[in-house]
Amino acid sequence: MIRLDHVSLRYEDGPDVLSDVNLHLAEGSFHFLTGPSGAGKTSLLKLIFLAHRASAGRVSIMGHDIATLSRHQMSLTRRQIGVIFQDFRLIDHLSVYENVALPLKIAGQREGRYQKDVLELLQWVGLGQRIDALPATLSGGEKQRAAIARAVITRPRLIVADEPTGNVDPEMGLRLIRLLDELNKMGTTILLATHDQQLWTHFAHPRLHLEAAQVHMAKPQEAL
Amino acid sequence: MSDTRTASKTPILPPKSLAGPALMAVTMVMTFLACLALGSTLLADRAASRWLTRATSAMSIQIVETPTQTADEQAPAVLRQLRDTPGIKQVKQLEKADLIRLLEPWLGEGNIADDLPLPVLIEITPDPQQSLNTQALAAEIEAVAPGARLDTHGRWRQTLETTAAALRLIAILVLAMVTLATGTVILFATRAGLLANEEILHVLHQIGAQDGFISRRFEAHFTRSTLWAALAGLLAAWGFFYVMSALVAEAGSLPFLLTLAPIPLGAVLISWGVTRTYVMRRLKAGI
Repeated sequence: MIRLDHVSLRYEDGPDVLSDVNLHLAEGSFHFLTGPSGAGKTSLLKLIFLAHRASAGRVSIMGHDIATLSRHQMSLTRRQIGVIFQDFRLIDHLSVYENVALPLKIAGQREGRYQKDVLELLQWVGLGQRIDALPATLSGGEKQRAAIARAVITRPRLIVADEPTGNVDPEMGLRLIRLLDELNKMGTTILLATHDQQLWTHFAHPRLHLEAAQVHMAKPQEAL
Repeated sequence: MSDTRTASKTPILPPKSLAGPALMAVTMVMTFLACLALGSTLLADRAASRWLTRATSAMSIQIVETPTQTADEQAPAVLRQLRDTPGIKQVKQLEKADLIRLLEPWLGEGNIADDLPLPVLIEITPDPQQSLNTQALAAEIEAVAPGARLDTHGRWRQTLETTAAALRLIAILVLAMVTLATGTVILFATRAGLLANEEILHVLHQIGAQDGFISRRFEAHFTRSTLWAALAGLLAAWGFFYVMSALVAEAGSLPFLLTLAPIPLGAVLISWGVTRTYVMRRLKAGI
């Protein structure tokens, strides 16, 4: 599902943010990604959700060598990746319903076909009563659930989450991870970056640790 | 569920983040100017054409006395020559009374003495069905009557043609300037719109939007704004020419007013072309 071979990343003339990273995540897996602030977790995720291109090495997502993809193919590949940002990135002037339906609209689906699915998903994430609300009126937890709903509405094969619990209380954080856990059980590959030790100790998923521009596999209970 | 916004009607790009009334006002003025330039040139061009037609539909021969012959003595030979020349429909020698009437505005009524040597004037109406070689005719007439000169009104025609060509050139320059100004204003508005919506564009790209999908949001906004503004500019120009019809009747005619109708379409095409080209290029460059 995700394969990085000798991947390095640097921004312009700066130092390597990632250096000779090798990583292979199987389809249907669930991994936490941990590491100190500034270690490059977000940069690694950006390579995986195709927001950046590697400076060196080979990145392969869902069997596609990213370096060889055209802009058109990149867009189509992105549609199979759900991204959950720490700062939600909901579009402020669109309602919860419109935000969640946006990936389907972009994929060219007709509203008549997807409306029921969107409403059902919003019920499932507990936002059934807030479909008209604008993001500014939502609590942190509600925003995050809306962001998760938007990330999963297209039934992506891969979900990449960058500190999804960073802006919600611990209980809400656990509920969100349980939700992702459910999706993982349905076959979705999950890669979740977090600082929250409670999460990886609570859920027995393997943990990748990123430090000094390198990634290594950590044991579930190993402390930072 | 009836009070919900479950129909996605909100534009993906917030209209307030894209140029609005200011851009529309500029586009309206530019369209008005374009209509004014085109309309004025068309009117002037048509007037010049009418004058030219009149000028070329009549020629005249003036015969003055020479040291050996009076004007009247030379006239029969000229008239014979004219009647033998193909391409001439009608020949008419003006009476002395007609000549005096023509000269009175300059010399004053009753001031033309009987012994004043008046030239002979012959009006020629060419046959529009046949071509007339005026240079050959002038030479033939001079051969039979040394005091005869053919006047084809060539000097006036040339002046009119030069004026009409200058007006056309001015109109083309004005239209080019208006096109450039409109394109530039739309380009800057598009650029501002891209910058204002940078965050949204990143999200759209991230959830799989293609450049064309994003570009179409900008194109829809700017072509719609341009269309309304250009129609307002066209209406203003129609109003102007309608008022002008008090001076130039043709300015208020429906066929004339309809010739200005393609200008808003041109404005929309400029808007669409500039927006699409710029947005696609910027998106490929990573905004």
